[in-house]
Amino acid sequence: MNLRALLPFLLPALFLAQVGTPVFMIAQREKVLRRGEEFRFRVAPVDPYDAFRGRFVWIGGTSNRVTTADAATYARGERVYATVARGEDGFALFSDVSRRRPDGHDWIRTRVEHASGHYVAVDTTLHRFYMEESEAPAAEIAVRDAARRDATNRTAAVVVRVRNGMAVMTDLELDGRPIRTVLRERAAATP
Amino acid sequence: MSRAAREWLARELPDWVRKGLVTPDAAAELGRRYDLVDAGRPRNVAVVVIAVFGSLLVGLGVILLLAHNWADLPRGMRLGIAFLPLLAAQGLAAFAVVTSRNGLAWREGVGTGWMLAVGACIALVAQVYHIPGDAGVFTLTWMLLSVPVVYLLRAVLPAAGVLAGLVFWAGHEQAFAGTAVGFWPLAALLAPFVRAQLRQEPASARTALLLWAVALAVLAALGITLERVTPGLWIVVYAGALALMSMAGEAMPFLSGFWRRPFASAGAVGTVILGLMLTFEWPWKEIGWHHLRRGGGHIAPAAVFDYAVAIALPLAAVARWGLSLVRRTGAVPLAFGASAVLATASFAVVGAAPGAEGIARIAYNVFVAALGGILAARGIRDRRLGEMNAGLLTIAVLVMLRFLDEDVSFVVRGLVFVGLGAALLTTNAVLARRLRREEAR
Repeated sequence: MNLRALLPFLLPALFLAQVGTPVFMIAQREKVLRRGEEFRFRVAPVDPYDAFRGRFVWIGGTSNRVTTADAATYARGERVYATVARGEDGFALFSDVSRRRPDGHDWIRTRVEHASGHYVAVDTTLHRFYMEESEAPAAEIAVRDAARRDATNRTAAVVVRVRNGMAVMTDLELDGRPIRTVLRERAAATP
Repeated sequence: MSRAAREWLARELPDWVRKGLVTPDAAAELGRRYDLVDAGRPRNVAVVVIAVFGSLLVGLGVILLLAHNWADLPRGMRLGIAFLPLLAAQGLAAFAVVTSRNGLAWREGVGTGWMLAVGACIALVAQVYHIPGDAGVFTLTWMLLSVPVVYLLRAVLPAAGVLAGLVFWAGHEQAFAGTAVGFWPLAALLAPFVRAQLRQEPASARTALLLWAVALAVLAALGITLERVTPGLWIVVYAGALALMSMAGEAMPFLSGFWRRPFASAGAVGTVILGLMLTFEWPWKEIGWHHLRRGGGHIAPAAVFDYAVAIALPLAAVARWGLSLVRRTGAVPLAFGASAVLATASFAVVGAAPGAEGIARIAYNVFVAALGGILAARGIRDRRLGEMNAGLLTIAVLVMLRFLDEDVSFVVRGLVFVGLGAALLTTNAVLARRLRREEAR
């Protein structure tokens, strides 16, 4: 077979595959962002010493445990569907876990992190919130100052849109306000 | 002899040796006489190096700039920028193909930049949408999209990059998904390229680089993908792989020098290190089918791969070894090939009778000493200082290890070490003087 002769077809095919892969990723997320249901997941109060070390904020402390009767039947790493619902405080939680798609609910497709006798812990798929490099040091100082004054009543949450098994983060909020706004105000307030 | 003729000869010689038209010794002599080692070298190494280094810098620089993540730019613009390096690389590649620009510098440079651009684009899109970093899926996608780059531009550096990426992927899969046997069919995607490269320019520096990447990737991936259900099977597998590698490398006798013969060098170094390890007690403890491991993350079905390579590799090595015996290819390939036979036999014996571990260790002491001796002897015969020293060093290390782990007084140890050092220095001095005298004549 002469590959040279096929080149006019192979070359565009390769270009298309290389561009198409990221385009497909974008299309999937854009669909979630446009049509997905919005949820707020509470995250652990941002640790000023750890969170802003890199270019992203490490999202931790999101509640990922689902109490269920058949918890013991789930294995670590198993693919599952986790139902997303709103709790009484308005924040999101995982209300159920199953091996089949939960119709009529919002859900994400994920894996079991670990399972015990009565609960299943799922991978939240919410791990990193990327921020601008230059904002990291400012954020570190700002959040540390705030934490010193009032360490207990801060709520941090990730804003997420969920659709068809996929969760896409849109923002990180401190006390209900976007982190970047908070940072900007603090930057303006400090002389 | 013209450059073209030398390149031609370098291409043809391995085939002649294979068909028995020329003895390996004669091929080696021809290689030395016509200086074939340099035949495949591009006319201007600096240009290639600068092209590759330049595109690496540009590629990495663009990635760093973008990784800065301008949050102030609208999402659409950030995404657009993420595609720029990729589209530029594709444009350059298309230009190269359409205008048949196939200088080495161009191909390797564009290829390297292109491969980086593919990964950068996906990574940046992932960053814009805060996609959780699944390193396994990301690496695999990146590598699969980069394989055609290798073929299109016939570029060695992207090929080495793909191999490195696949090894990383295998490590990740073995740790998180249980098994990484998929590495082998994926790596085989590059096999036709490696073969073509070997046939077209067996003596070039680029081929040597590619073969180093292949040798290291194969040795690393073997260790990663083994399921280790049967303890000690790694001895058979590694001995077989290393023996095959060194015999295949020795089949190109017209090349010389450590870096120019990746398979021979990696195979030899690996065989010696493995041999030295096997003179200790720990590799032989609780091995064989009486000690099968169950549970605890050991996937029994995936162990099928273990058995397949544990049978195929030594079998192939022994077959190849028999071939060298018949064709009388010389003592060195025979000695290194024998490693596969010895390892398989030792594993079988110790697996059946754990008490026989002492015999295996004695056999390996003798074997490593013999390897060193044979290597040194060929070095002296062919006037190759490096090879002679490698052989002598092997023996020296073996003796030192034995005196360190046995209960011997410091005086005796001291005397032995002084003796070894003196022997090394003397042989070097003698051979160096003889070389100078021959050159003078």
